[in-house]
Amino acid sequence: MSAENHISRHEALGLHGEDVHELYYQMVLTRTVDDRLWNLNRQGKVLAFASCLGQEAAQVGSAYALAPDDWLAISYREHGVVIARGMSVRDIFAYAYHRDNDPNTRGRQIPGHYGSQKLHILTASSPVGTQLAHGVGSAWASVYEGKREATIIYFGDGATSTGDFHAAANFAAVHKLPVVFLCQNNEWAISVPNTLQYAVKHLTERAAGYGMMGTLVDGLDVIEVFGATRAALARAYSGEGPTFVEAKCKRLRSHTTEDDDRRYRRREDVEADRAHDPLANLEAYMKAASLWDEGVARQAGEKAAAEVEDATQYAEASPLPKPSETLTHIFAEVKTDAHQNDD
Amino acid sequence: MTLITYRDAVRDALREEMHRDPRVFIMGEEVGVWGGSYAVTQNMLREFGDKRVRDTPIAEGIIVGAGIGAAMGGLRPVCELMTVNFGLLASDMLINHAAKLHYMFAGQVKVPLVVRAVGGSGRQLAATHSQSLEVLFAYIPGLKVVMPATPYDAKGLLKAAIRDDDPVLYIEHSLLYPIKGEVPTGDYLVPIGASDIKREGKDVTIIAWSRMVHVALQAAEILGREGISAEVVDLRTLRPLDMEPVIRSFMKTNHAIVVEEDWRTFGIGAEVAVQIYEQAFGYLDAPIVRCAGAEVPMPYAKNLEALAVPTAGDVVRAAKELIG
Repeated sequence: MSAENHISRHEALGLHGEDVHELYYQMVLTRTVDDRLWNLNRQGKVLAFASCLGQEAAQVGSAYALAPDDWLAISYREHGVVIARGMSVRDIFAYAYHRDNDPNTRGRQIPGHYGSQKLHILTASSPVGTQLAHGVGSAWASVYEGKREATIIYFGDGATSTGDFHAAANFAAVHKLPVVFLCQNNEWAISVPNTLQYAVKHLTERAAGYGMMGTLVDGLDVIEVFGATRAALARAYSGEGPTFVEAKCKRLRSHTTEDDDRRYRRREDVEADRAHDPLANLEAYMKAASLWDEGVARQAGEKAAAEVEDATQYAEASPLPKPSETLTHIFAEVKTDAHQNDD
Repeated sequence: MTLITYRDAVRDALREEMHRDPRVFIMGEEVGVWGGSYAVTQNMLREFGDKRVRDTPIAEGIIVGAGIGAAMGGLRPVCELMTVNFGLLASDMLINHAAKLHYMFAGQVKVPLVVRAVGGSGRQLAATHSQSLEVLFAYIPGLKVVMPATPYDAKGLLKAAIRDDDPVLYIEHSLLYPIKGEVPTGDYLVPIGASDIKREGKDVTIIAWSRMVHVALQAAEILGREGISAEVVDLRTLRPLDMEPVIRSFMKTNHAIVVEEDWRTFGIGAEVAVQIYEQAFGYLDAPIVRCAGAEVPMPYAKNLEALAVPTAGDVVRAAKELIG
């Protein structure tokens, strides 16, 4: 593609050069966070978490399209989404280190299950696919209250096999809810490949079966993901109902820190997948669009490294949760009667 | 005071709370035109419109799951599940999500959700329609489980459940819908987590909830005529479980019988009994007795079904053996 075409792609979407630089930075930061968390896990400081390496464009591009009031129902692999949404790296690391100052869960949930009322991020879910049900409920609440808000639901290819996926897609379509179903198809559900997960060529083929629009995008292309998400959001805001967006990605690491993909993926295949790198992809785009010089990569890398280093120090120095609060928040109200079992 | 049925009490609670708070809405299977499988939401579609009385696709997981999302989004959903047996299809949503989100996210989110379901047996609906599954849900920290026995409690507890900031599983008993009782004309609440003395006595404490309260009261009536004074304690809420009135009663009577429609092994009665042992061992004159459901999948045939559920006769016999 010529440089003019590249320029027209982001400018046609109303994005400026600064936006492209911001997208690039958020993707670099996401990768830097992911790498550091993985290393900290190997040092025994951070427990089980799911890497999002290879999915930075799908996550940052889609989240960048959201309005501040929109809601997000997420899975446990969405570090790039929460970064794009504005969660601080300090908060991400305080969470991973299970510290008392983590605003997400304060030591109560394993890493990566972000939840922030402030950022309109609904509670991330561990059982695969359940956030789809919560997401359509959140969209229902927006419609009920007459608010111009949409809910974006993040999930993977594995989740499309669950009953919750079917029930949520159907529920949203029947009630014409403002939902964007954002499927990051990274080709693997732990060790189970797509060929054993579904029998269609593209998951978007299913959208018609629910009576909704389906959009297939290159999940390695942050501009394309942004555009598809924004179009889906526009449909949602205008009462046209849900959209299913399938972003094709690669999973460049094992499922989680607790998995070793050498047991089921050939090394040459993993190497081949590494050539599909969303960051390299964006770099090529920026070069063609004259948005690149060597300083961009260096500055982004240094800034991200500094943020992550600061966040690591911050988390290391933060206190653990108070033992006296082990039993708080089981119920919303505090019972003072001595004979109550709870609280 | 007015005399109304248990069904009307549940409906009046829903209607009054929906008039009071625009965030309260109903969703579930058959709640709209059909008026609910047990006619609880009859005419409410006409009164409130289809935004607030919402028929959903038949999928229990999404009814509760979307309810959780809507509750986190600021609404106060009342989800109807038809029966608690089908609630098993929503058990992941209740147990892994509704019950845990407030805790797991350190108090950031609240899930003010009410899930209504019918439980219990007695209508010849066999094994997958007649279970008393309250123990499965009462076992879970973070979930409130309410099972009213009278119209007064049904109305006051449902209103309290809707105003509560925690998820509440509210289990109705299908045989109780036609029973009548006095309720105040104005607004009132019955607190969640408060057991209630339904009949005073001095010789034996009979503990029950939901329909078994009526079996216990019937037994107490018969025992009274035979010179045994029974006190009946209605648990009303299984979590949080309020044992204080039970213990106080037991310290007076020194004898206890738990009457439960659920299965004996690992049932609610086991928990109640052991808490009495823990808290009032010194007051014990005899082992605590459980009158419980027979441990079978519920049969369809009327005569067999009747044999599987405790009766007033069973309780009277147990009391006589205990006191005699």
